[in-house]
Amino acid sequence: MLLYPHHFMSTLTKPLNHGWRRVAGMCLLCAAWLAAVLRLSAATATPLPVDTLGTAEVVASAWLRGMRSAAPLQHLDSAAVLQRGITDVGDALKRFAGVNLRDYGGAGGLKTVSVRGLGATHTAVSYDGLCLTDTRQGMVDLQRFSLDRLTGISLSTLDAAPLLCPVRHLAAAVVELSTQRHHYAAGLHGTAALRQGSFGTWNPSLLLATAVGHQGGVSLAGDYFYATNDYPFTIANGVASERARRQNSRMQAFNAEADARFALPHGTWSGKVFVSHDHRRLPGQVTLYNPTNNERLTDNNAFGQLMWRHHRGPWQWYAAAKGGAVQSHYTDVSAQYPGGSLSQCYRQREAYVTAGAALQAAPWLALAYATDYDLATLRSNLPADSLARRHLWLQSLSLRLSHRRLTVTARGVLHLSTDRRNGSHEAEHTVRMLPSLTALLRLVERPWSFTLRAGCKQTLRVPTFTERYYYHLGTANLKPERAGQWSAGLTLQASPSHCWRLLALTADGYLNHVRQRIVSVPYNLFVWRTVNLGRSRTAGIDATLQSTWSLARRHELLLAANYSLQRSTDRTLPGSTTYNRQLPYTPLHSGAASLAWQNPWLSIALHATAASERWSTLEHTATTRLKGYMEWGAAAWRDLQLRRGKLQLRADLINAGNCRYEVVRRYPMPGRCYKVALSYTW
Amino acid sequence: MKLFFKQIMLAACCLLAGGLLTGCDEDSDVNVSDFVPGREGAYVVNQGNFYGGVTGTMSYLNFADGSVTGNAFFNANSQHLGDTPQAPVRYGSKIYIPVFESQKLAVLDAATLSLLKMVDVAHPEAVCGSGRYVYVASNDGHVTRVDTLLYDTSDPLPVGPNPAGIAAAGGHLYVSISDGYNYANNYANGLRVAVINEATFTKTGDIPVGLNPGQVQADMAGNVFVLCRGNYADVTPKVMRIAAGSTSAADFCEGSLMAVSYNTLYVADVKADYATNTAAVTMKAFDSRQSEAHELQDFAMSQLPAMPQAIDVNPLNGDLFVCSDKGPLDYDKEGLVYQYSATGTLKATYNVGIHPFGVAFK
Repeated sequence: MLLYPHHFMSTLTKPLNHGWRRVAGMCLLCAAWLAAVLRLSAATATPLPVDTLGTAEVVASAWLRGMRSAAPLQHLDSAAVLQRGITDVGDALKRFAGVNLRDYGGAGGLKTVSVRGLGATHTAVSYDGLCLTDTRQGMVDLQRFSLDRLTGISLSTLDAAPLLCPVRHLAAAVVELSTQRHHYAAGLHGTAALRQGSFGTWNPSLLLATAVGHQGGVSLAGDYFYATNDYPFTIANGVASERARRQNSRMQAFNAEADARFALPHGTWSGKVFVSHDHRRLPGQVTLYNPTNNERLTDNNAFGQLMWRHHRGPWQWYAAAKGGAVQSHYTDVSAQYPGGSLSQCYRQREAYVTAGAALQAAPWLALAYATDYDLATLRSNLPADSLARRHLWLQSLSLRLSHRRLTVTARGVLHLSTDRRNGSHEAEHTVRMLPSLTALLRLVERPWSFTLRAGCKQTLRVPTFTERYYYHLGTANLKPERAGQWSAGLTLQASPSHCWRLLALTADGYLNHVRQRIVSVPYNLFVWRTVNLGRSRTAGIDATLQSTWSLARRHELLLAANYSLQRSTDRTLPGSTTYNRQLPYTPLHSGAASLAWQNPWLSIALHATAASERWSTLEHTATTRLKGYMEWGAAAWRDLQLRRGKLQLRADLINAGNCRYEVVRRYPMPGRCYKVALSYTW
Repeated sequence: MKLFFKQIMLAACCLLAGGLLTGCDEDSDVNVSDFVPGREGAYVVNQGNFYGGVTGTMSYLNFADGSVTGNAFFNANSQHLGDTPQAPVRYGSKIYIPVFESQKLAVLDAATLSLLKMVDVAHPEAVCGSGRYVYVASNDGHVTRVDTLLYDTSDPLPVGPNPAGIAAAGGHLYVSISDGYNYANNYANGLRVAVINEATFTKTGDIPVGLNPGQVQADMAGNVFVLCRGNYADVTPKVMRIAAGSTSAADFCEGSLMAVSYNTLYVADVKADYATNTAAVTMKAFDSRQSEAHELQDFAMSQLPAMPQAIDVNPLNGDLFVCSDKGPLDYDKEGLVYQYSATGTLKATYNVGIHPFGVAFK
């Protein structure tokens, strides 16, 4: 952390972009300032004469997360979530550059994340330090996590920031959701909240936490979510256009989790138990002339995890274990199916262990080794994949060299996995070495930060059990999908003046390739096949901006914006009509921005998200086009200090302009709606 | 093909004899072929791409100038046809289109393409006309009879799981029972063609056929052909023949797509190669009246279609219209209609909408 006195920083406002001389000059000024601070510290130790100037106000300005990392890292903490008017996890992810959120609309709609055009199956999602897995479909529905419990959400692309981490965290992109608390106060503390919103949304939650001894504490949290989701939308059909409401869309979900964390002499232990039950009716895609849909989905999810970390001298160790089960039951009631309904039941089990160690061998050299082992099984009531099993063993060896302002990190990941289906003598093996290299050059370190970063990486994702074994779809001998990433960019963080407290900029260009893409092709209307076919290439730019102005005491203006340019194209068959065309559901331009005025009376935030036109298939015609959109909203909140706690009132107006749009064709997004929340923290 | 023209004249004469004898005075200058559709143009039903949220459309092929009007249905009606339309049928002065996902039977005026009626029918797969009715095979296991004038619907008649094709011949309806959603049990409750008495609209029996029957079509002689699609793996598709009045079916030839026109059976066999986005296509023609598959020697396709989806025959002149994607991977892209002469010579190619799936003639 670096401390700047405001009156001093004001002299640094203009020279930021004036070259190396200015940089050198500022370094000298910085050194002078440090000396001044030290003298000031010494002076304040003795009583001051009456005529002495008052103590200078010192304002802390920490390096933002991701501003000094070799790979792009974007982070939102709970304060930023509030200040940017973010209402759910999906909304939070839209505030990250490079993210393409696949949103099927409404509170019950599936939300998955594709980063930099790689596809959602290349994105790993971790929850409190360990990754979640879905061997059946390969992607995690992010909507099921309550934003209220999260203390932070981050997106790392290309590489993980820490040298030592579970190997799964070295995926092409990782969304990290964190609920962990590092400090527990004595006595019983907690937060009780009630949120209510449009379309029959009710969401009460309760969090209780207490310290246990001096080393740690435990917490319990639970929430219930109910929504009818019957929001209105327009069916565009010429003279037969009509206003309708989503039907068969009611959902309810219950989540509970218990956490414990203890910092003991031989390491820090943290554990979690998580259970959830989710039942939702699926409105399905909008069908012309036919509003009926009878699909249901019930998910039950439970897992427990335990993690140990220890740091002693130059050594760091960690070990973790996790066990979990997911049960998913899908039904579609229709006379077309044998017995009058389609009933598919899936049960996934997972046992996962990971361990690693890191050594700071020299001031310029650090080494780390980590290994993961995962056993995942999938059972279903379908004959073709009645039991599928995957053994996955990952190892990573990491090396970090630091010399002056340059840091280079090299990693090698050895991927070994075996998939086997019950009753089959054949097993599908994958053995692959996946290298990566990232570099960070800190051109300017103080008083402002300017860095250059670059990296490249190879990753793969093995086929999901659905792609491999699903009857009439799966192809057992599918090869893994391979991705190559190249990225280079810069970061800048400064505190330009007394008023302009923060300016943070990042800009990264990248080029990604995906080879042996796993795609489904139809045999006919009902029968599809999964094949390794196709290539894609994505070239793009991600840019983020954060800025903070102090207008007056306790009055702040906060601006945050992100922009993504993604030219994500099909590169399968040169000469074909779709070669080099933009991939489905990938906007060329997308971004979000928020402006908040934080004050003691009623804080207000305005925010907007936008995307340019997209297409639902590789055929770019009027019938496949989705028009671009921009939706904006507002949030207002106020904290009231009560005798024994704090009461927070918050109101959100979402899609205030009532913009009618779809992220996925025929899955309309809600129009104008509201949320109000009342939470009491003690 | 000489045989073909004899057949067409005979058929047209039979169909129109009553009208000619009773409705015309001596001075009328009536040509029989004026009553046979296929003179002005053809309507192509494009299935669209339901999973991509693309609704079905229709293209109009104008034979006079060779032009194509895209989105002809919307132009005529200012609304969309619906989702996942199936193969159209021209019957009398109207065109009937089962619209599967929209669960409607669209009835159109063949002259103007105006939408006359959207009839509620659950999961309609295929339609055929006979007498004053059209009959709709629904994937929910029923056949519904629809009055062509009043659009009244009968109570759905249960026939078996997942009917996929329907044809009328000799006073009976033949409905293929695929049991297509029961693939996990190897289509065990299918393997048959249900027979319905048209007069009483009751099911009279089943005729065993091969695995996963789909298309059903009948020739002028009352012979019924059933395309059995197999299991898309080791059981390959084939065409079976039910001789007129018979209660059994016999293997006829290999093939994955067919069309019957008068007394000629056209069969295409399509084997897709997704790696190269190409398909190996063969097309043959047979005399449908013969119990053995004897290929007609004067039929030879000059340039084969890329990835055929449907074959339709112009009843006026025997031209073949083959709906096709541009390749196996191009199911969600705009497709082509190839027009061949009755002997198989390519006459024209038309660019049409996404995933063309059938043709009805004007």
